[in-house]
Amino acid sequence: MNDLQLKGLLKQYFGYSEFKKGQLEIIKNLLANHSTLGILPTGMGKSLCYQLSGKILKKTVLIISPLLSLMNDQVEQLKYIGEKKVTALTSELSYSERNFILHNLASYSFIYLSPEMLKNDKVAAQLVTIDIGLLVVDEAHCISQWGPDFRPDYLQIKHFRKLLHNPLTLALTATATNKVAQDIQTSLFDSSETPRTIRYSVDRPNIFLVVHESPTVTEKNKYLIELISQLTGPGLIYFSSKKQADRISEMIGMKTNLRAAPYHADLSVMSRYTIQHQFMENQLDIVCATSAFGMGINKQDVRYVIHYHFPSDLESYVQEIGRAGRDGKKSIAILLYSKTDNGLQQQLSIDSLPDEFDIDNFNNLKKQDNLSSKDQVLQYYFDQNMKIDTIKNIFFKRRKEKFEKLNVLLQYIATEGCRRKYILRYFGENMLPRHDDKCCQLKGKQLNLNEFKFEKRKYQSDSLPNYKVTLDSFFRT
Amino acid sequence: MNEKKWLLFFSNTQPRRSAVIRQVLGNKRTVSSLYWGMQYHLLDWLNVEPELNEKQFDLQINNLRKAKYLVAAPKGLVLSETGTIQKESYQKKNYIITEPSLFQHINERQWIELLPLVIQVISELSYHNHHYYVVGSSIRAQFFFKSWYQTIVNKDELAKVLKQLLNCFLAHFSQEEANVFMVFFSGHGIIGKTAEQVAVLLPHFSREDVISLWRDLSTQFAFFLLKEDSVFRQLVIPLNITEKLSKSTLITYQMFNENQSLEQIAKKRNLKLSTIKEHLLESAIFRDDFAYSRLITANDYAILKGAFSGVAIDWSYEQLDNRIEFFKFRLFQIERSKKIE
Repeated sequence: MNDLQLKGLLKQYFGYSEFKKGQLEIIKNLLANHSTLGILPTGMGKSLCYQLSGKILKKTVLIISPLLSLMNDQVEQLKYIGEKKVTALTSELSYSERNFILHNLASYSFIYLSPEMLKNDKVAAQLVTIDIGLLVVDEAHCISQWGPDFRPDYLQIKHFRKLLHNPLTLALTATATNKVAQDIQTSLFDSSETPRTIRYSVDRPNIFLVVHESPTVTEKNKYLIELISQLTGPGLIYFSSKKQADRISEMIGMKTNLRAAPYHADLSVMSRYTIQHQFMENQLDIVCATSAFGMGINKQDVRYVIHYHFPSDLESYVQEIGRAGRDGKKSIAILLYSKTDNGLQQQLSIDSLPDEFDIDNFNNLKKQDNLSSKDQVLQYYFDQNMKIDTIKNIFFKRRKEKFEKLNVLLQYIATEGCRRKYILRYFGENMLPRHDDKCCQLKGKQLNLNEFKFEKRKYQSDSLPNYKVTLDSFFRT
Repeated sequence: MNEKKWLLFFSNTQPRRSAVIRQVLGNKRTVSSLYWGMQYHLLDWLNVEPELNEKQFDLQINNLRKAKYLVAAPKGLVLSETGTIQKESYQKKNYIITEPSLFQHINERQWIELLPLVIQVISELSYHNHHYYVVGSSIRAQFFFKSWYQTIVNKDELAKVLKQLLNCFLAHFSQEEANVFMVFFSGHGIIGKTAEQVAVLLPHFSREDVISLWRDLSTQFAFFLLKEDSVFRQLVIPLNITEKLSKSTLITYQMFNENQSLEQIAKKRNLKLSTIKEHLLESAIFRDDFAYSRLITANDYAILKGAFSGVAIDWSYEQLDNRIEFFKFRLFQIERSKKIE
């Protein structure tokens, strides 16, 4: 199939006229039956690679995806383009629902699978009976123990692939250092296999990089209001704490005429849908979110991403700012740093790992249901019959690694050189762009917002619609 | 949240209510919580707050004490004078669920995921639109909906029927209440609003009021659909919980009704006799046709009637001097309380 034919199919199924960087190359590799590791920056449409390939191969595509919310988003996106034969096998389903899906597997074109399902013998037994054209490992960096998002269940994938007779496989990730990329290859493929690696720069040249240091929280809040009152939206503000996301969203509502809403895991599924879609339809200017927001969000015109709290590592930072400027237009990423946040981040990132005390404690307790996420990870290691000292050693090392990762981010904040070069060097890239005034704000330099400013907008005052009017608009009869 | 809401369930004379309130509202069933819930007339509120967290509740009750709305009394807490004023003020200013007893008869969690999905899908269907993002719901709810949807023969009629049903149902409420209820939903070309956003638009409603109203009307709508003869009835039937007794209690109660003795039941079920007695107390609380006379003999009745009169809640077991076992005393209390009601 030539490029022109592929473009035709892209238009037919997805309505786009052009491929994004890397998509065509990955699809062509897959159609030539080469397993592939695709490292594409956030916003480059990774899922389209397997969605279109699946349509062309006309065989079932099995996708292993780590997050329930992400999986739901992707199922919705496929349904949105009219793909009805899509399902997800997750622990959320009841016994009978799962059985129904398992006995009808062959009728689905796309099957999403949560990693814990890999351990389920019944699931594996049914999956070997169908003809899988392509196995996709989404967020493949979760397989790497070196990575920040390590998921023990992902280590089962290699064995699972063998059961399926090593089908054509696509591993996808947005951010992977060379070490992680290497780890993905060895943890996923047999030594006899030679998967192709397609790597595109994590650089997003249209995103201007800024760090602002605030001496106090009061100054930070004041600066934030100043910023968002001038910047062209829509924008995202990331927080490490749900409470802060709520508070600042409320503060924005009181101090500006901007429409803001919080988004985090404590909201109901319905509220999350509402806010995500109000944002997509530009009925909101700002979403104050925790990292729960946006794994699968597909909004092209986010003009700025502000970090109210800094994330735990540079990988997450690059992934989160990647939600800005997917349309390729000029956008800005601003990290608001305050020394007082160091403690919070250390607590969230490093203290979330089990320490010696937690490990001893877990060992002394009997098996329980409702394990915390900390305990689930520990359970995995104990299930491997590892000695307690080995486990302690593993977590000692991981705490150290997390600490080092946090330092990499703190050095990004402190760097006196070009911020973009700092990021690219970290990800082991050789082609470093020349720094200019469109690249980033160097430490100590005045921030010029002129290019990112907007005209003040006036909104119609909102009111509660009459229910009868709503019913008439809802149902065309 | 506004902790003054809990004042609604306290009294100025009965001090032992706090734990009962938490257990009844959170649907934590023990014979004791159910018995006292019945005596305090709280059982209608069973399962209205299924997410109630014990720690948080205790913290809030403590705050109410600090504010002196609740004051210590022997064996518990009662409403103070200011507490009573606050309770009345809360009743006037806030939205209070009008049909609490429905919450124990429906799988609310599934229903509130299903309802927005039903409305959206049928709305889009009426515009023949297949390209839309399905409203936030679990894969499970979507699966459940799909199974129902596939059984519908005349899909073109769905929008008309649902619109009629909603119109008819909402006509029973004030226009503002109906508006608040509908504004949560997303449909063709319209994205709903969150409780926070609605509360901003209606100054006399707090976020919590908005949520209470929505849950109240959603649940009532489920029962409205159960009563009406439409295709939507089938959607609610699997979520309707008709049996008040827990599974194990029901088995005991059925065996009891087959005239088996308590000892026989305990032996067959491999359970302790005390557990069987608890099952029967639970059955007596929930069933109006409970056969008390199979357990309380004429002689027992004579002793009990001789010892007690007035309101059952005030009776003291000690008065019987162990002439009758506690189980029978409690059964008699339940029987008499129900007669007075």
